[in-house]
Formats: sequence, C-alpha cells, structure tokens
Amino acid sequence: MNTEGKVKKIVADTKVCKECLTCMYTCSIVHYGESNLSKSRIVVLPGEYPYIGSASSVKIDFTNDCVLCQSCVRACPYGALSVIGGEM
Amino acid sequence: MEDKICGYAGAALFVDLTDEKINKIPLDEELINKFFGARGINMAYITKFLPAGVHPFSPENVIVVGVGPLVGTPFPSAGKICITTKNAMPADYDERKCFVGSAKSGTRRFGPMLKMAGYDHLIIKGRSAKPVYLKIIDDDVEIVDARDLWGKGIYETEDELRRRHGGDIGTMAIGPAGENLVRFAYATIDTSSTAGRSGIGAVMGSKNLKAIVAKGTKGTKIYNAKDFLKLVQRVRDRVAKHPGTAALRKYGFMGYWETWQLTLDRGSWAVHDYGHFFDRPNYDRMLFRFKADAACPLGCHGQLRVPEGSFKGSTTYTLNTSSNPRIGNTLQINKLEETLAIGSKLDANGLDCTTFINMCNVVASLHEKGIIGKEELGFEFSREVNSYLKLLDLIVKREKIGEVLANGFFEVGKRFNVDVVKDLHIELVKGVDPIYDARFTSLDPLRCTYITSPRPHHGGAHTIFVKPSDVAHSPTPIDAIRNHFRGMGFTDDELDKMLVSSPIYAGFSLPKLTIASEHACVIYDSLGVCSILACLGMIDVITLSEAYQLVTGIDKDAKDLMNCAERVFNLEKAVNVREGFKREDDWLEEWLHPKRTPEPWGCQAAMTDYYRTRILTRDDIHHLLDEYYELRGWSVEKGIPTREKLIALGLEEIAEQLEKTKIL
Repeated sequence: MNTEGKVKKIVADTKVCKECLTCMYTCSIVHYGESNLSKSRIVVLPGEYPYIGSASSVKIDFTNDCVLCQSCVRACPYGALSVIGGEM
Repeated sequence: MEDKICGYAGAALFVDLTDEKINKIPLDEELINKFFGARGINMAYITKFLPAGVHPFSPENVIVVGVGPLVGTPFPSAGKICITTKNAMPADYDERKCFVGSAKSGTRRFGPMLKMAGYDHLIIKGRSAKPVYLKIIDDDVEIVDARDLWGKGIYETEDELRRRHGGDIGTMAIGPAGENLVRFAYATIDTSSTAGRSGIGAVMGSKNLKAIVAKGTKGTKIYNAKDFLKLVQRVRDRVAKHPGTAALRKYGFMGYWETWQLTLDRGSWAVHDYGHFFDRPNYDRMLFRFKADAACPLGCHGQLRVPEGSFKGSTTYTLNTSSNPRIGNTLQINKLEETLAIGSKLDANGLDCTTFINMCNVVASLHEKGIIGKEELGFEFSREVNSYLKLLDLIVKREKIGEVLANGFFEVGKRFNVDVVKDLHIELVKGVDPIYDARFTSLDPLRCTYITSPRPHHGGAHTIFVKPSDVAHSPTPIDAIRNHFRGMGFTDDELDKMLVSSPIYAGFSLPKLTIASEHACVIYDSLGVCSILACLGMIDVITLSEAYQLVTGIDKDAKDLMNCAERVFNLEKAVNVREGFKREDDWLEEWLHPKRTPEPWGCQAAMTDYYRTRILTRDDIHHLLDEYYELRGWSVEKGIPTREKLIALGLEEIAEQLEKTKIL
C-alpha cells in the first residue's frame, strides 16, 4: 500500500535498535539498486563513546533525500522504526 | 562495476608488512566458480601464499580475511567473515605442527565495509618493524604507525580508531595478549565478536599488527534485487514465527538455557544443578543492551555489566550469555558477577575464554598435586575468582608461571614434567581443547567434527545436534534429523541410506552425517551466514542456494554448493597434510576414558552414540573413522585424501605438492 504523502515522519527507538543495519541495506537497494551503506537515506551510527558501557550508543538520522517510503520501517526485524501521521 | 560478478567486490588486497607493499589483485573468476566464498577462497589463497612448515609467528605466515558473497546484503545474519591462518596453538610437544584453519567471526560493519571498500579478501604477510594498524578506506590503503595504541586494551583501541576515522568504520583489533604472543589470544571484531580460538590475535601480534579498520562507499550489486528482497522477507518471517526467537532476543543464548546447559556439562564440579546460579532471572540485573551482527534478526550478543559490589562496572561485550555459566561450571564459581569479572578482563586483553578456563584448571591440578606453589605463582592460589584474575594477568604479561601458560598446554607438560593428557586429563585434539565434552553430550555429528575436522573447533559447525542427547531430556527424533538434512539438498533416497543403524551406532550413519554437516558448514562460512540460524532451522542450504543465485546470478543449486564445499574441505585437509598432520592426529584420547564426576553427583560419564544405546569403544572409533575416510574417498590407512580424489576435485596444485614431498 502506497502511503507516501500521508506519513509525516519516521521515528526511531534507539533502545530497541540493535544496530543490525538491515534498514540501511534495504534503503540503498530500494532507491539505488545496490547494497551500499554510504547511500542509505537512513543512517545508523554508534552514538556515544566509550562504545563499551554505554546503554544508548546508537543514533539514527535520516538524510534530506528520504521520501518516507517506509522500506526501512518494514525491513527492521526489531520494530525499532515507526511512522507518525500515516499508516504502514 | 559492470564487469564484476554481482555479490562480489571483485578484488583481493595483498599487503606485505615487511616491505610495506600494497597490491590489489583481481578476484579470479575460476576461484569464484571453484571455491565460491570466504572460507573456500581463503584456503585457495593460503595454498598459494603460505609456505609449508613455517612457524606461526614467522613473517612468512599469512593471514587471509574473507568476506562472502551474501555479506553486505540484508540477507538475515549475513555478517560473518572468515579469518584463515596458521594458528598458534601447537599440536604436539615438539611444536612441529600447528593447524591451518578458518575462524569464523560475526561482524557488524567490518565485513560489509571491507567489501564496500572494494575487497572480498585481504591477504596479509610479513612483519612490520614497528606497531602499525592497517587503514582501508576505499582505495586509500595505508599502513599507519600504531605505537601510541600498542599496550592498550581492545575497546580503548577500537574507540580511538572510531574517533579518528568515524563511527561507521569496521574494526578488527588485538589486545595485550595478542601483542605478547599468548598462543590463545584472539582478535576482536566490531567490539562484540571474536576471531578465536587458537591464536589469531597472537599471529597478528607477531606481525606487529594492532588493528585493521575498514570503510567503503562502493556498492554490492545484486543480480535480481526484487526477488532477493522477497526471499529476505520470507526468511525474516520464518525467524519472526520461530518459537525461540523472542527468548533469544531477550536473553541471547540463555534464551535456550535448557538446551545449552546440557552442552556445558563437564562433570568437574560437584554441583550438578549449577544452572540456577546462572538462570535467566540473574541476567535481568546485568543485561543492559543487545547488539546484532550485520543483518541479523536475532541479535544475540548480550552485553552485561555488573551493577554493584566488588566487581561493579565489569562489562563484557564478546561473551555470549552462555559463556558465563561455562566459566562458572568449569571454574566452580557460583556467582554470575564473578564470571563477568573474568569475562571483562578476557575481553579487554583479547584472550580466549575456553582455553583460559581450562588453563586455570591445569594450574589447580598442578597446585593440588604439589607440583607448583607460591614460588611459581607469586601468590597463594585457591579456587576462587581473585586467583583466576591474577593468573589472567600473569598470562597476558607473560610473568612467572604465565610465561609457561602463555605457550599452551604442551609447554606446561614439558616444563613441569607431566603428560597433559594422561596426567592432567586435558581433552586435546590437534592441540586444541574442545568446548564440548562428548562424554556428556554423546558423540553426535557435531562433536565428531572435532575429531575429523582439520580445525578442531565447531566454528560454525552448528547443526541440529547442538542440542545433545541426554538421559534427562529426549534426544531429537529421527524425523526431525531427516528434515534438517533434507534442507541440505539430500533426496529421500539419499536420506534413507544416511539414516540407517549399524551394529555400533544406532539411528543413523555417524560418518555420513558428519561429512554432510562439515560440508554444510563450509557453505555457511563461505557465504557468510550464521550457523545458529541454521541449527534452529531458520535457514538451510536450499534457501542459501536460492539467495546465492539471486545475489550473484550464478546458477548453483544446493547440490552444486555441497559439491563445492567438498572441494573446499578436501583442500583444507590437504593443506594440513602438507603441514604434517596424519590419521593419528584425528584422535581425542581423553573422550575414550569414562569420567568419574565428584560426589554427591557421582556418576560415570562415558561417550556413547547419539541415542545412548551403547558406549563407544576404541575399536568402534577406529571403525567409524575407517568408514568416514572411505566415504570421503580418502586413504583409509593414512586418513588423508588420495591423489586421485584431489585431482577429481580439481585440486591439482596441492596434489602435486603433496606428491613431490612423497606424502601421498
């Protein structure tokens, strides 16, 4: 179901995210036809140093190219991504 | 990019640390067709670049890192890489032999990023004159001075490298144990995975190579992206519906505690019900986060931290949650936080957990026999956590008795005039101490690979037999075993012939299922997926062959991949034959001796067949090995591949080498 236009924002729960990067691979394949972390429009990075001992060490951002297609939301195995203002 | 085969970066990076020479080598199409991925192609490079008989710490030893064709894609769990080298643990008293094999490790970014930098394989030889790290950022490859990092712990090192090169780099690093050439030092990858168990960290240390960082911007092209994403979703749905998934995500391996607990029994502790010390409620206070390997839908890397008490702040990233009860059971520790204190220090220094705890028991035995005391140790040893932590320090720094322990079990035997197998009852095969004890689990196809495999560690050899047979728990029914092996591409006719009892082993042919398991694991390792998903039935060889075809466009079904895997396994064996390994090395003497466990538990544990119908004798094992070699088309007398077999598999180069040295 194409819900583009209805979705206003994708939000990420960094406590649920396990940093598997599935969202990034999927985004790059859907939009660029190749698996390429550097082209993903969702960016998952370690958030804090030291990496060890930090409970919330992931930060998740979206580039300006994101068109809210929700491929990343559907791909996330852990349900860390959700949408505001629209339906999946 | 257009002329590359999809799924592959199409090149290997060759680095000579002695001459500081860096070359990019195109990935030969023939290598892809014959050896298809990380573990397979790694071994082809090893055959070519590793001279026979060199010392593992010689500059001539080679480390090959391999990234399989599914890595760098969203295929569930495709984040595994293989690191192949001549390992550092000696297989005999004379230190003439060390096995050559591939450690498989999870990665979050290192594997995918190495590929996205443009390299399926990284080949490292030589020795740098000073400590260095290798920086690989696309075509910007540089050997960088690492004198300021030398001596630092692994996490400190990796964090510093992230500060310098960005949080999105992949990292592989060693700690002080590797720097000091402790024979069982490992390398850590992306902070939460390890390339163990037999001294890859020490081999890196011998090359003065502190770390490798990788980052890339080149994409992996997928042959049929649309259908591939559909397949990925199908597997993801299978994982989501699996009854074990929720528990694995919440507790890591401890989600399967009832199963894993059976595999930890070694009968060394009088507390048989040690399980409750380590059962899940204990973890609720200490688990603070989980991390997944690349594209993994389970994310079983539990990260634990002690919240209070003497060991407050001790944190472990690499020990999967079931390693803590393994430490507890082996060292007779009944507090989770104390096992974490040990794990935390092992992590920072880069020291293999299993060999360290077995080494602690060696020290305890020598101490109990009065062979060593305060003079050798520098402190009053007792069976408690602080003594173990002091031993860990001595080993890493190679001080006092640590100098002996750091060189492995045989060095201990020589120095203290004891036979490590006969007197100390260490389970050793090819110099390696296995993590399972077949006297407590039965000799199933998984445990049998410890005897037959050139690298005697399961390293991805997980099959349905991870759940062992146990008198208190029903073993896996034969129909489930049939179904598991059907997933490897065997027909019902073939399965009928595999699942037959013999007078010495009930239920199935142990040699046939061992061979099939060995080949399936070559496929998991070569493509770069996790065998945990395979042993739980979430993925199988048939699914992987579909994924392989959709990613690469290469027409190889499950049978074709199993045939390639046979070639890879034979090459691994032949390379180890070149190193001097023989039939007599496929032997684990200690398992033949029933183990009397302490009172009040007190029982006699003996190695049996899977369904526990009979105790296996020495003659039985010889007979099963004869059958194994015969089925493989090898010389039964020598236990090694014949010239004809190697030629039939297209392994002419190694066949000629072995023939010239009159081994065949």
